[in-house]
Amino acid sequence: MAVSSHPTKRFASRGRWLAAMAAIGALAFAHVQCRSAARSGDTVGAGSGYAALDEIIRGRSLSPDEAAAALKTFVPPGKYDDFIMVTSGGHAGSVLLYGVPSMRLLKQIPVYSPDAWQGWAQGDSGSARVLKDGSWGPGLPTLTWGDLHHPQISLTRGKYDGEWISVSDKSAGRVAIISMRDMKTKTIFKTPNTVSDHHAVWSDESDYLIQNSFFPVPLGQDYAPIEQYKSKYRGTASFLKFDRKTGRVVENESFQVELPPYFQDLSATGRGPSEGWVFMNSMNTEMATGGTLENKPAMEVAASQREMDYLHALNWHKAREVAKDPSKVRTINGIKVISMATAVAEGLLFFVPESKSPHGVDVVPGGEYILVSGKLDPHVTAYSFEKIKKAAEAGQFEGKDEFGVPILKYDACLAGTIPVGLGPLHSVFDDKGYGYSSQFLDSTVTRYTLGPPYNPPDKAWKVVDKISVHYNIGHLQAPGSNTRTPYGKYVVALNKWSVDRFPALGPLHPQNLQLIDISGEKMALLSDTPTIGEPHNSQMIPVELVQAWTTYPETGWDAVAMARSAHATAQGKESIRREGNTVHVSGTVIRSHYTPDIVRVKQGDRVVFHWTNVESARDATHGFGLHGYNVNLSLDPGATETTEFVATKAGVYPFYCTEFCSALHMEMTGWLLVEPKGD
Amino acid sequence: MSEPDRTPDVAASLTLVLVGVGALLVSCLMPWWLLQARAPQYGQRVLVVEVGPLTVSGDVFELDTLGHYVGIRSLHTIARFERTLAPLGLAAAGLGLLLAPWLRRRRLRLLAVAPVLFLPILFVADLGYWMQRAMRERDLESALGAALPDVEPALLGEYTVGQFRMSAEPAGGFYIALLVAALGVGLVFAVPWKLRPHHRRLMATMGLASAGLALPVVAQAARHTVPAGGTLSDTVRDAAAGDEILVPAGVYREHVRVDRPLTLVGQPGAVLDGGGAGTVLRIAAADTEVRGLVVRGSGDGYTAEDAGIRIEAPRVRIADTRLEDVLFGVFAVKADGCVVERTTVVGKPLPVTRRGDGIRLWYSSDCRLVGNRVERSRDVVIWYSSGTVAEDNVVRESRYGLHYMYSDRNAFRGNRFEHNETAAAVMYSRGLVLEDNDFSHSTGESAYGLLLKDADDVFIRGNRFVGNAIGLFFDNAPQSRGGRVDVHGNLVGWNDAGVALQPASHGVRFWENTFLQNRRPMQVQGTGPADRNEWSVGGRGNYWSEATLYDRDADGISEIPYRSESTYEALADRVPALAFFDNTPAATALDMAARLFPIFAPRPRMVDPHPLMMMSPSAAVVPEETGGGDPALAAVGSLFMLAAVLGRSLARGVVS
Repeated sequence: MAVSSHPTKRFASRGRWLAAMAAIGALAFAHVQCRSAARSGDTVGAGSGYAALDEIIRGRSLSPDEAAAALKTFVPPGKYDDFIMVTSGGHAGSVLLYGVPSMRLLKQIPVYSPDAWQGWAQGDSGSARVLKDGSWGPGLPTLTWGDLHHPQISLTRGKYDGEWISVSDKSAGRVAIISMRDMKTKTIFKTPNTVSDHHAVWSDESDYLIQNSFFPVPLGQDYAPIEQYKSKYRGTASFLKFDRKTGRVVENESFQVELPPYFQDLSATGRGPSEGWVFMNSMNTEMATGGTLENKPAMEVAASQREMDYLHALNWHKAREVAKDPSKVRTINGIKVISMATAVAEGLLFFVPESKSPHGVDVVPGGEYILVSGKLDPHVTAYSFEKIKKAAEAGQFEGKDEFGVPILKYDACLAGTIPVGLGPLHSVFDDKGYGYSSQFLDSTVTRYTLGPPYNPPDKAWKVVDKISVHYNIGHLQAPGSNTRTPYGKYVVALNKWSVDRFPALGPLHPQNLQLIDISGEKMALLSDTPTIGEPHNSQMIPVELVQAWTTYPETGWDAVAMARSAHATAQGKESIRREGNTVHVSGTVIRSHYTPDIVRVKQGDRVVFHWTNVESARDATHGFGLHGYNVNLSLDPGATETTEFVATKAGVYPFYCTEFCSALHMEMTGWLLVEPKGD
Repeated sequence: MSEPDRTPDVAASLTLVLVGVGALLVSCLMPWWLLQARAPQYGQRVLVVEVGPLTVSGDVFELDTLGHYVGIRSLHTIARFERTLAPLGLAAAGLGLLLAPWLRRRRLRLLAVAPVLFLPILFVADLGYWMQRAMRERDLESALGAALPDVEPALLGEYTVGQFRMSAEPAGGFYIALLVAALGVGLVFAVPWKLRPHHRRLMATMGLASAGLALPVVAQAARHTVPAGGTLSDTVRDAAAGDEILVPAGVYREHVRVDRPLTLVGQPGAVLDGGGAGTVLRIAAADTEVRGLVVRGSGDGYTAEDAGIRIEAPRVRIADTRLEDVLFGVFAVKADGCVVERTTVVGKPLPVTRRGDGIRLWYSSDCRLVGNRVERSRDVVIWYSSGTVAEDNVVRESRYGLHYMYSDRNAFRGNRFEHNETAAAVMYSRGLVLEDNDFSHSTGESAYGLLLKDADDVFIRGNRFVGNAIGLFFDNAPQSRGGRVDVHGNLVGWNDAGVALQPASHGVRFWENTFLQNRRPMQVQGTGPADRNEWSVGGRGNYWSEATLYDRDADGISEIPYRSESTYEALADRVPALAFFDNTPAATALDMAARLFPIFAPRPRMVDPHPLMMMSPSAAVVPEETGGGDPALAAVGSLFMLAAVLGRSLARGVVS
């Protein structure tokens, strides 16, 4: 029987000299261990310091791994983190900035939703206009939320330049641009003919922002019954020309390519050999529309029926040339659109079969391979761009889809498959020729080797390490992963659901960011960090590449226009002017008073405040919180902001500074006196 | 016995006969007996099981689930033979009623109505017999089996099983059956019909009419044979709905689409060959049956989902069929109630990433997969398909032996999943019974015996998890309030890790399992504790082959709890090269040393408060082992090598 041959039992039943040997071995081990600990003492101070450290570790019952993780992630007071992680706040509509490796929350940038702390659309006219201009227009309300996905840092020659962040909005087909100088949103652009986008990526020079639609709708965003899904509904790929000087989208230099009504999901731009191409994966090539009460299978059921969906390979450099020919485009809602038929005829668009309902598509740092994560397939599939190109040129098609788009032969495009585990979603890359994929079902991160030139062919596409995360990893991110030169060192797992990871504080739970050290031979889990909203991807940039202003470059700065404001007011030039029923207040703030601090208006007057913070000291932000009129401005050093409203009700309305600014902060107050009508 | 003065009332007896037959039909659709169960923990809810001559329905799943704790067999395994006979008995009863008025001799009439008379009696007798037998044959090894006193079931009235108050009573169908029996008695004493000329005419007319009625039935059952040199497709086209087609031996190189209900019967040597293109046999008609065919040579296109057999209609039955060289084997889409039996699927000789699924049920509920064999394939997929029963299947050398999502109330018994990448992956489902299956020798990147994620009410009993990288893997299962995952009486042996728990799994209950010679009996992944699961139920824990045990009161349960903790393991987690020394005396020595000179206190991963002294009988099936060699020599050698590896690792600062 098996039990009798169990080694430990055999050991126990045999001679005593073995025990002696064991004791000798044990002593030797303990000795070596102590010496090794003493040797590594210099990282934590003197020998006595090490003993104290040991006491702390024992006192808190930490395992050696936990103690090591604490040391790896600790950033001493006054020192900075190595990286800034720019992460999405999902349907909170904001962007969050974390320091890595400490995982301290450094800032929240409001984008699609108002935010009182930063005075974002909380009375400020400039930000209110950004939200209004970024809404769908007449007939629909101003949007005050968005499902913010996939922040992307702008690129110069394929590397982070630390200038702009773009984000997409799955709820409304919009992109927003944030300047990394002041970390404020500059514009929200509603893409024509597009109601939803999961992801928008920069070209290698950030001259274009490439965005594809998620939900197909009738082309032109008109109405057509759902029964006409195949004939009328269409997806779009948008190529939005970006002006890096102003931070705006140039609509008349932008164009779109009409796509079949699949859900074009994530995308990645090519570089190097694949320069000028963009790769998008798709789902629901079944073209299911749901209809659970109409005796049709549920959406998620029908949309995962077919074995394969299609990776879209689109030659957008060529498309850009085609778009210049007026005979080949049609302008719909102000944007040039290349039809599907033209795209096929011009050889712009090819499909490559990909495992059904895939999730991430990622291009390796040099642009040689496109990696698709199967989600329902336990592999990451690597396609060679060279092979895709050859197959397209040689006409190696296995057929066409219903819309005439040629489908390349799967085997002809394949470079390798990597058995990463169950439910792969995304891949990121480090500086050592490794890829890392997140497995939603396994709850793991897998490290694997990339193909040549990153590794020799016999070592390509092999799994080399795997680590378990807490639960349901969605995205993962590594510093500079989508650039030509990734930085390595860390991977952050963006887990969906934290379940029991943090103390229960009501039924709504935070999400969980888990930091993983990838610098060693084996990956090591370092820490958990709760985060708000749902983190839909992130990017990590070395802290030294972020060249943000500490104060505005000129006093009287209009943050939205990114120029000196016409309403900037210098000290001593403050005024209150009446023009008919409008009262203009041009004032200044400085520690610790408002000028003017008494403003008298009549009931029914339109009141316009232009406040300029004339401070140029770091961190000397003042607030303008006005009782009763729903206003709070954040007047950052150098900023000029405007708020306007109609003084509808007579009364006395004190205002005060909402940012603690000096010893006399509590005294920084003023009065808005609204006199009753008829007086 | 001549009765010239008594004229038969034809209308009266005819009415009697027709009412009797009609009532009998109606009673078949109704329950004959009701079994009800009430227990305090179920609150207001009463579990009701309805027993009829043909079916058992109602809260069968719930009652089976409860029953398994006290060792009562599943209701579906009860009276199988009788239930197969029941339709015949009912038919005989109906026929007897129809025949009785024509018979002149009372004895013959009595004989004709005998089935009607005996039906209710037999039913009650058989039910009583099975109720007694189920209690008598209760499995005392089950979780609470021994704790339950003997149960005296009552056919009529109340009795108790543990906390449950049971009651049994006859139901509508049974009363109707009694009435029909009374009618039958009436017929015995009624005056028989005389065969007068007009009766003869009537009979002839009825005979002709019934023949006429039967004609389509006979015509439906017409048999065709594929002519020599002919094609199966042509024969299918010429056949009418319900026909049977015999396929003689020979190779038929064609693609066939069955668009009307047919029965295709392959004679030995009948091969349908798709020539390596497209889907070979496509079934678009409900109630089609395919038996004894060899189907081979599908295409290899994923886009077209090339398959051996594609089923697109309900209630299709595939039996005794062999599929070879196919991308997908049996691909069932919206095919409720289909059956695949004794069918073999062997995939194309392609790398696993390029293969299709052996059997795929998609959006097809209440199907049965029984006695099939799937080899060199990708997965057996069950998605969006509830109420599936899979028994006695073998899935080998494929990717996922079972790839199971969004499907509820399914049962898997006696299946063997071996040498796959993952034996079974079960996700997003509830209400699952896994019994007596083998999940063994999974190898690959995610080599799980059973992966259970986001699932509730899963009962894993008497299975064998052997030789996998990870025997059982739990992630957030159970997940819902009141959801349960019970792991009872399984053999978990020779795995790298017996059980791996993601930290989000709480409330899994393990008892009376045998953990034998796993490299690590239990591991926690993704950091976190595993102490929110139960490692013993009712004072009975599990058997752990590496446990130090002591049973003072000789009750088979050790007084020393089993703790999964080891300095050596903690170290091995960080220095993978040490895995070489697993289960060697050197590893034991290290643990001992750590206790003598604690560098850090290892945290227990889990504690089994009541480990068992002996492994449970189900674990007696033991695969062959590799030879041991001399343990003393091994010990010395491994100690030296341990020193060497540790020395190197320390030099590189891995341990520090």
